[in-house]
Formats: sequence, C-alpha cells, structure tokens
Amino acid sequence: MNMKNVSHVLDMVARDYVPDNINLQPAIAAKIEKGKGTTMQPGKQAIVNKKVFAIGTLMIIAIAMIWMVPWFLERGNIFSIREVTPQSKGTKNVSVASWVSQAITVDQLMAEADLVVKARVSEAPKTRVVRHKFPIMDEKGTEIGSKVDELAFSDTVFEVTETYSGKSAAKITVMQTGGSLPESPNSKSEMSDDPLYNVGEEYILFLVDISGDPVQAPGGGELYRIVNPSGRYRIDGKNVSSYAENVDSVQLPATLGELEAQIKKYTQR
Amino acid sequence: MEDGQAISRLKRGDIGGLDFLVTRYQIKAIRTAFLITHDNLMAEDVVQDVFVRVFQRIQCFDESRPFEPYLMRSVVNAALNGIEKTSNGAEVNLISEVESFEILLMDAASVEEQVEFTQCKHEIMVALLKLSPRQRAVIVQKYYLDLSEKEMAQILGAAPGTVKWLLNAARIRLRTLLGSVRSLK
Repeated sequence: MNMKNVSHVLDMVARDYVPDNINLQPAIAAKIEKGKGTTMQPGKQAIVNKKVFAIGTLMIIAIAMIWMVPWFLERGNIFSIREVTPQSKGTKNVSVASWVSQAITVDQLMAEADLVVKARVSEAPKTRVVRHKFPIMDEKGTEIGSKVDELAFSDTVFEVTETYSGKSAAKITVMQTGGSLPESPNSKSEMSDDPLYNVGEEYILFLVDISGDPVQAPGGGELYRIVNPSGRYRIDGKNVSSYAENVDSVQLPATLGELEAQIKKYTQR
Repeated sequence: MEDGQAISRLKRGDIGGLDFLVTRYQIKAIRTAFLITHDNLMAEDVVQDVFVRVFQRIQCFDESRPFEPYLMRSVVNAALNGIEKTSNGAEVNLISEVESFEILLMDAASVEEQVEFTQCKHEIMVALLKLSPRQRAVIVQKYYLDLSEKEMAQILGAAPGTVKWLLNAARIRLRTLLGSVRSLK
C-alpha cells in the first residue's frame, strides 16, 4: 500500500473543493477581535487574563479564610475524626471539583510540587470524616444556631520506588477528597478526576506537602496531596496516562520514558 | 521561521506568529475538515475556530512539541463535533462501506490516465459521502494525515482495538477484492 500516493489522491479530491488560494487570516483575526470585545493586542490580553486569574485566586483564598474563621475561634472542638475503610462494592457518587492549581505540563507541575515520586499503592485508602461546625446567622448577623458539615478525606499509603524531586520516606501517605462515610460504608464518594486509589496501582505523583494543614491534615503527621489531576500519572507497563481532563492544548507524555525524561530535564536545570 | 519560533512569538503577544501558522497549515487543515464534513463553509469555519482556540490557549502550549499533529487532531475533533450537530448520527454498515472506499482509493492511486483519475475522484467523493462522520474521520486520519492507529483511537475516543479491527478487516477484504476488480478491467 503506497501511503504517499493515497494521501495525494485524497489531497487531489479535496483540492477540487478547497483550492490553494484560500486565506483564513482575515476571518480568524476578526473572530479574535470579536472575542476580545476591544482591539487590544494578544500580549495585553494575556496580562488581563493573568489579572483575572489572580483576582479569582484571591477571592477563593478570601472565601476559604472566612470559612476557616470558626475553626480558629473554636479550635479543638470543631473537628472529630473517625476512620472507615472504603468498600469496593456498593454505590458510588462521583463529584466534580475545581482545582486551585492550573498546572498542566511537567514543567508547571515540577514548579509547584514539593515531592515527585514513582510509587505503588501498598494499603487501601482509609477514610476519615472531618466534621466542621459553622454558625447559622440571621439577617442581622446574630448567631441563631449552628450546623455541622462532614468532609470525607481518604488517606492512602504508597511505597516509594523512586524519588525524582524532594525528600521522601520509604512510605508516604497521600490524601484525597472522598471516601466512604461511616453511616453508609457501602457508598463511596470520589472526585471524577481523582478517583480513590486501589492497592497495587503504580503512579508517578507530583505532590504538595500538606502536613499540618488545619483542614486537610488536622491529625498531624506527614501528609501529601497531588498538585491537581494533571500531577497523577498512572503507570501501565511502559505507558503512562494523566488524570487531567479536557486537556487538548498540550501534548502530554504518553510513555514512562518520556515522562521521566521531562522530569529529569527539569531537575537538571 | 519554524513552528516553535512562531509559537514563542505568539506567546509574547506577536500576532505575526499566528499568521505564520495559519499560512502554513490552513489549506491542509481545511481539506482535512472538508473530507470529514463534506461542507466547504463548515470546514472553513471549523479551521477558523481551531486557530482562534490556538490563539486563546497558546500560553499552555509547549513549543518544543510538534505543532502540526496537535493542530490536525484539533481539526478532526472540531470537524466531528461540527457535523454531529447537523447529522442524525446514523451509522452505515461499518465494514462494507469502508472496504468499498478503500478499494476506490487504491484504484485511484494506481490510475495513470487523467480522465480515468478524474472519474475516480468523483467516485471517491460519492463513496466518502456514504460513510458516517466517524468512519470518514478514520479514513482521513489514516490515509490523509498518516496517523498511527493509537493516535486515531485517542482522537476518536475509541479503543485502539476497534480502530485496528476496522482497518485490518477492510485491508484483508481489500486484497481479495482488488484482484478481482483489476482483473475485470
């Protein structure tokens, strides 16, 4: 089969309908201008995008801080922790979350990660339920009661087989949002782009150290979480696949060799 | 100028970088979209939108990566999305129509007379129209863009085995049928 000939044939077929002299530049420029709503240059647009992103991030931090105020005021009695091992059978609720980190490429992930390792899941995730008590106010701002919210986090123990960046113990614990609540052990909740780990699975993980985090790690001890789903690469033989969703603007590493080469290239800078 | 330089320029806000990429790839991109959509206007619209998206997301693009495969993948996806909005999604006979098309394609590749080639081109267009958008996307990726089956599976969101099975079955049948078709001429 002569592939070049066949490709040429299809090109000739299409040429009858799509001549060589088409120029899309004016139409593309018009669409870009229309999308921007002003005549600003792309460089300025990028700056505006960064500003919008920065303002958005600050707002998220501000909301998180407001949410944390009761914890600072009532520290010691707003959290209680119970443990339960998630069941493999039963119902599963999948949630969607927005991640603060927008890192996609290996370079971006490396810049944000405290620890980058190759590791295998050695123990099944253990779920702890963090209870958060927050006040209910009337329209005048007077406290009229309180409500308790439950947050399920699961901690999974990994056996580290290789450390690419940072300092790692032989075993590390990685936290995820989700798991099984004690009231319904047959029901599992997890994030769509960060499903709970299973024993035996092997990953390259780009991790952030959250040890001592008052919400995610109130029990103390060394604890990590992934930077975002882009920082979770499942190893399947020689191939790897990221958990990043809807990323079609960047070609991500598809093999273990490619991913490790990019990591090493970054660390050697 | 190379693609990587154009992308770097575009990242710095220099629209000349985009102009370079549009000039370099627009014709192949429109033809790719046209072979899938069979609609000139939709094909042009699809490619315009893909380039606008390139412009909007260029900060995330790694310029050390080849640009053309990324662009063409985006065009195939956008063309499929575009046509799926207008079609009823009916799938024609999966194997037999692709086989017929491949026979025509191979015949056209071996034709030397211009008149006969013109006739073959017409038949190819008619045969392409018989295929579903996803089948056309398989043909275009395999025979026009020269993509691997793994890359095709990623774009189509199908298992690699599905794409492999489709193409292999067509090729085996093709070898048998090509012999009989040519012996009739």
